[in-house]
Amino acid sequence: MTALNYFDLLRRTISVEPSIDEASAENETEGLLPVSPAAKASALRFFEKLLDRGSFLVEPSVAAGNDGSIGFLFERQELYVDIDFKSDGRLHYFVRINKETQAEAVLKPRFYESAVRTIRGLVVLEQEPRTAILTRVDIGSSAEMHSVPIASPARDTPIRLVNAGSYQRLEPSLV
Amino acid sequence: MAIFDGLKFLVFGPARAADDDVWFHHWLTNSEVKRGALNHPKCWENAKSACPRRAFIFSPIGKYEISGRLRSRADSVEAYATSVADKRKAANQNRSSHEFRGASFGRVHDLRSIESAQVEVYCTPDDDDTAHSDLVLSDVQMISGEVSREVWADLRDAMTFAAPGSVELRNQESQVGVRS
Repeated sequence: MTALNYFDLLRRTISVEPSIDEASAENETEGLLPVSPAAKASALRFFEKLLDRGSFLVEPSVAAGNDGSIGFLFERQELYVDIDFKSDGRLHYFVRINKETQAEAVLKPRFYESAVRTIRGLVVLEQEPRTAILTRVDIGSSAEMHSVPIASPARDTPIRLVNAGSYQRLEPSLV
Repeated sequence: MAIFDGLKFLVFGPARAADDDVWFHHWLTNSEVKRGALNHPKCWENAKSACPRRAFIFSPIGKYEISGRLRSRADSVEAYATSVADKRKAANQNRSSHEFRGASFGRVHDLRSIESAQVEVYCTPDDDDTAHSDLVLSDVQMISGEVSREVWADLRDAMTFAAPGSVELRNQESQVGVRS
C-alpha cells in the first residue's frame, strides 16, 4: 500500500493557487485547487502499479490543474516524463528523451498497464522486494510536517518527501 | 492615419510582434515555480484561456492564448509584476500570497518555431500595461481529443526561466525597451 499512503499524503499537501490569468483581482481564490475524485482514484491506482517493488528514481514535481486534473512531471537531464490524470480519470502520459518524443497516449484506467510498462523503466528504481518498500515518508510544507512509517523491513530505503512530491534520499543513519 | 490604423486593426487584428523581440510571462504564485522543475507544464496549461472564435475579420482562429508582455515595450519586469501582485493583495485584504516569483522569457522567433502548434505573438496593449502581449496557439496538436503534452513541453523548451535576483533576470531587466 505504499502508493496509497504516498498519494494520500501527497494529495493533502498539494497546494496550488490559480495562475495569474485565472485569478482576477475581483474573483481571486486562495488555497487549494480541487482535484477531482476520479483523478485522485486514477492516480492512486496508477502509482500503486508503478511503485510496486520500486521507488522513484527521478524526483517528481506535482501540480494541480484548474480543471480538476493533476499532473506529475519527472525530469532529469535528457528525460522528460509528463503524467497527467484528467478530471474524468483518464491518464495522459508523454515521454520525451533527448528532446525527442518517445511515447504519448490518453488511456482509460483499465488500459494503464501499457503506460506502466513504458514509464516504469524510466522513473522507477527496481529493487529487491524486501528493500522495495518505502519505509518512511515525510511529506510536509512550511506549515506542517508528517512523518509516517509505512513499513519496516530489515534493509530499508528511507526516502524523504519534501513539499508535495520533491524528495531526497537520506542515508539510513540520518533518519 | 489614425483612422487607417483603426480600420487595419479591425480587419487584421493586433500587430504581430517582431521576430527579434522577447515575450515573457511572469509568475506570481509559489506553486507556479516548482522545486526541481521550473514552470511545471501544468502551470502553462493553467495559464491558458480559450481564444474568442474570431476576434478580427482576417485574423487566424486561435485555440488558446496566454497573457504576457513584450520586452521591447516594457519598462520593467519585476517592478510591474510586483505592482500587479500588490494590487491583488490590496483587493484581497492582504490575504493574497501573490508576489513576484520569477519570469519565463522566450524569443518570439523561437516561440514561432514550435512544431506542435502554430504560435503567434500579438501586441495587445491595454490601459494598465502598454507592453501587454498575447501568445496565441492555433493548429494545436491533439491526441484523443486532448491537447498534446508536447505543446507544453515545447513551450517550456522555448522559454528560459529567470528567478528573482538571478543573473538571468538582471540581464533581461537591462534590456527592457529593446528587442534582442
